Amino acid sequence: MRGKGLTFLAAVTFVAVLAGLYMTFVYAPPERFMGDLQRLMYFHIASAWAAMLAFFVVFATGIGYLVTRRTAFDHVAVASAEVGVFFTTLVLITGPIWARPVWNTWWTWDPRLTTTLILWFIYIAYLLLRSSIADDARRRVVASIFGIIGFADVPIVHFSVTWWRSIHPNLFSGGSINMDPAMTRALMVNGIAFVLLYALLTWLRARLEAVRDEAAALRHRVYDMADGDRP
Amino acid sequence: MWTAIWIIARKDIILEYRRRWLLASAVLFGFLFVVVLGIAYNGKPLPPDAAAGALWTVLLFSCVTILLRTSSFEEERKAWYALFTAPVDRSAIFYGKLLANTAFLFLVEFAVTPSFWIILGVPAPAAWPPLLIGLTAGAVGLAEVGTFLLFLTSMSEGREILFPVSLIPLAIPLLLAVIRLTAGAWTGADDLFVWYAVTGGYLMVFGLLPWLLFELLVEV
Repeated sequence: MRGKGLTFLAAVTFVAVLAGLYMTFVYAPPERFMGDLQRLMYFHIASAWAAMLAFFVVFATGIGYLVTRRTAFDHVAVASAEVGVFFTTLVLITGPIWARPVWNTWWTWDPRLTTTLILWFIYIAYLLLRSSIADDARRRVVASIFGIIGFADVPIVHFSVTWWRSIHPNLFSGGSINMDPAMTRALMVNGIAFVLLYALLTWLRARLEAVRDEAAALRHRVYDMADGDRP
Repeated sequence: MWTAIWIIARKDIILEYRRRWLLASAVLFGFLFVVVLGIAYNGKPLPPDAAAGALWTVLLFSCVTILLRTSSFEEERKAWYALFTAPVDRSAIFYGKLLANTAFLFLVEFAVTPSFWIILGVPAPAAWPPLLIGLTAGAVGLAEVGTFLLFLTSMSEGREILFPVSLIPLAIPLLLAVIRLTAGAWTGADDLFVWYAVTGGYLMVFGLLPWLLFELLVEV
């Protein structure tokens, strides 16, 4: 059953990513001033959505683990954090490539840029902290708690930096979208494709983590049996 | 609860008082940092924004140094285990440690800051309240996140590096707010309300979150 679900998700993701590529490079019109460069936006924003979802999942599964103590939650948490850091890295790479010709600078202290950068640091710290704790039970609890406080910090970072400064282009203002409808459709399709891609990668990574846990448990059993045999 | 917090804090303060070299070294570390900054700025006086940024860079380093060391007492002889057998609410242990750490950071900050006037030729601030509130809030806030992260990283093999690496991104809103307050103290700006609000909100969130999460953290 699990294998079937995964195959299905992989197939849907494959189609969605192909559709996203088609929408990005063929369907969507070039932007009037920025030309083809603007096509980066579809990946940039879609990655940002996937990353936000990923970090929310780390937060939610952290609570889930602390409440139920089921290791499955922790497997999804570590998978989601890794995939989230990957998507955040994409955001941080595509952003400056676009900003250099348009804003005439690689980096600026805009709220969303700054928040994304801080997020990236927080979740890299999360992954480093995880990998530096040897004890399984302890690592899961520490990671869950760090995932919760890290996510609780996000709105504070965002608001404090917003009050500090802001020049980001606002595509969505007052409930309406300031874009050509074809561009909006292309962005939506890419958004769906990236979220599916996130789900697929997280699923695979969580499964790997579960297998790793099983292998460790088996190894312990073998050691225990070997110990039992000794006089 | 309050008595327990106070007893734990007093124990830590007495122990630190007995080995005064730690706090003295942290203050000296701050002074040295200021001297290096003075050399780096080639003897020129610092503009307010740069001064506020430099001051907090120095204070952040001193605070990380001192926080990493204050908890070493409990680890050296595994005194944690004894501490956690105390018949008090677990979070009392956290708030006791927090109180002691706040006191240490407060001391270091207020000892290091005057060297900015003396060594770096920064003029006296135009308004005192933002500077004093900024320093106080900085000490309390860094102690809050710091104390919690000290417990969080206590099982990590790379604590010396992972503590600052996880502390700094989490403390960004606080640092941003107290740096703006400090800069505002020198420029005499009066639109600082928002930074008082950010500081207050941050202190509240990171003062209360440990109360919810600390029990879970120390049970294993």
